[in-house]
Amino acid sequence: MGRYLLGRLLQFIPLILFVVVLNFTLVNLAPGDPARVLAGEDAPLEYIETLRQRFGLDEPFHVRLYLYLKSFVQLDFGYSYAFDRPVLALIGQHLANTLLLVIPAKLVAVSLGMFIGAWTSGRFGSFLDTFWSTVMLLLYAAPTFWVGLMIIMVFSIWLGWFPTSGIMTVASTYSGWEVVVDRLRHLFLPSLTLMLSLLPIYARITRAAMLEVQHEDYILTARAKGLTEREVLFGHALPNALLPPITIAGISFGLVFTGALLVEIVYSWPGLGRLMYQSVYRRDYPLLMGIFTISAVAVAVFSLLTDLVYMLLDPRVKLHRREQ
Amino acid sequence: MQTGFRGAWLFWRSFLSTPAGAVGAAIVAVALFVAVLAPYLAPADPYQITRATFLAPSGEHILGTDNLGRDMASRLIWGTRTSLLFGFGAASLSLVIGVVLGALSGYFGGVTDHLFSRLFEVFLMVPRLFLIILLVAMFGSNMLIAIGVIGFTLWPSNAKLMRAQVLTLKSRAFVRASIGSGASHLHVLARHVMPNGVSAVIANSSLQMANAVLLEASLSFLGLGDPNVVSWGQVIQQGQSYMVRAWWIVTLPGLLLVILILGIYLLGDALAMKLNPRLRTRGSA
Repeated sequence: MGRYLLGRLLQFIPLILFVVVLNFTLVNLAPGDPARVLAGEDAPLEYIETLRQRFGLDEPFHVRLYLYLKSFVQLDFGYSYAFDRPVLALIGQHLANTLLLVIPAKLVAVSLGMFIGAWTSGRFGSFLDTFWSTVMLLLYAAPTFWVGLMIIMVFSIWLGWFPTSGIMTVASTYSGWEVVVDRLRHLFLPSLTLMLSLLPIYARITRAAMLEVQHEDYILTARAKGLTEREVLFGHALPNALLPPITIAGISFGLVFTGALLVEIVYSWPGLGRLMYQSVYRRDYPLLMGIFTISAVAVAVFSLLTDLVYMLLDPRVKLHRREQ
Repeated sequence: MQTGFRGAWLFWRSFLSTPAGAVGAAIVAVALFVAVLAPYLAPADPYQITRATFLAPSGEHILGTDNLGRDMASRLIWGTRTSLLFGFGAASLSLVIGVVLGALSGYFGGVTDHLFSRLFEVFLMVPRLFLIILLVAMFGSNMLIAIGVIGFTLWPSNAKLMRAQVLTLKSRAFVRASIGSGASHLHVLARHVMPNGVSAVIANSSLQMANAVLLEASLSFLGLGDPNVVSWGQVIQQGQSYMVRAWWIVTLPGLLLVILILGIYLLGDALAMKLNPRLRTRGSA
């Protein structure tokens, strides 16, 4: 187990290098002169030249790549010239905002989704199953950004219960608990939107997996032993049906950092996704590459964790055989 | 097993007898019909700017007009075409790549699995929406390029699911029996492993077709769609500034997206049910 883990961790190195080089190549092939974009439409030529020299934008491709790799190894993601701040600091600040949005949404979505999936599978074909499956289907089918806009229309514009956008009330004189309440009021609608977009994925996959395992012999045995339907469902079927939802949850967790992009744009939430979107438009190379790398590393880490959870959940998957 | 034309007919007849399959097929069929006949069905030119701005749905403009006085019904009818092209194109590309690579990886194991899994991970590590935005920004928002880009970024989840299925299938008795009785790799893969593993991927594939429609709408909503083609996401993007004044501009294309995606989804679900006999017997019980 320990050797397997070490082996997997060592595999990260070429993988991350590959992503770094890919990032750099892709971003640098993008059209547009960053110095010109950065300086703005009416900037004088001398100013553009100054910027170009300051950021090494005049050097040939391979020199810029070498410089980038060197600074990457030193964990120096560079300086964002569009935001006039170090990339790492910018990412840190925005990542915190994204996590604030994502973690509650994801936790509720996974647990509630798995419960709904398992529960409805036990009532396959009944009215309740049809009803909940339809609700989940409709939720799945609805585009996240549109759900966000509809929620804003109802709860902010018509009812006026929640603010339409942002992370806090600007120029407020709140203090103490009022600040927390203000943040939570801003957090509620975007978090709800994100949760509603994730929920049907887990409900659907859990339900499908549950229906698959319900024909296995051990389920028949469990029923024959006289266990209640609930014991069969949650004690025997669910543990065996966890593989697909866990796969999806694991794969998608790293992606959620960037997957919240649409919600962040609709609600003007200052998170990583919105920062990324802004950096694409400003052609802010150091920032783009920094965000790209951080999110890629996050996905790699969660992919490894998914594999480990796999082995714990399903002894039939013998990945660690390799080390023997 | 029935084959040929009669087999296909029997398959579709039993398929359409399930309510979900029938509803899904009907929605997709209507969408296809509208997409193909868009020039004849649209009451007006979807790009024609008029002075009749912000008209609520009424007799003359049954779905109202937008901020530039363009007929909403015509814009939505033409938008159907864009959504379907994206759905079918991108999901097909993703299914083929995902199933083949996933099955090969899980079945052969060892070095093959090692290399393929690294490949999946490299692709999975690249944040999808970001990569799509980046590539579209690089190569321009041309529709065909965007379809290719979306299909090219969707397949790793198909491959991973297929691989996970194959890993557990490989140690099942019927697969081992087939290998033990001297069947070729091709036979075991095509006859036992792929048919039993593919149901999870087919279910995922309907998700992906819906996903491709969603991604197109998202790209257009972000202002990165093909500016020369009307799309539902684009209509929503242009309407969001007028939500207070004209609810229909934002609401209607979203509803159509929900209906179309729902249809694709039901169709895929019924298909998965047909392809997996274990689910079918349970369904009829």
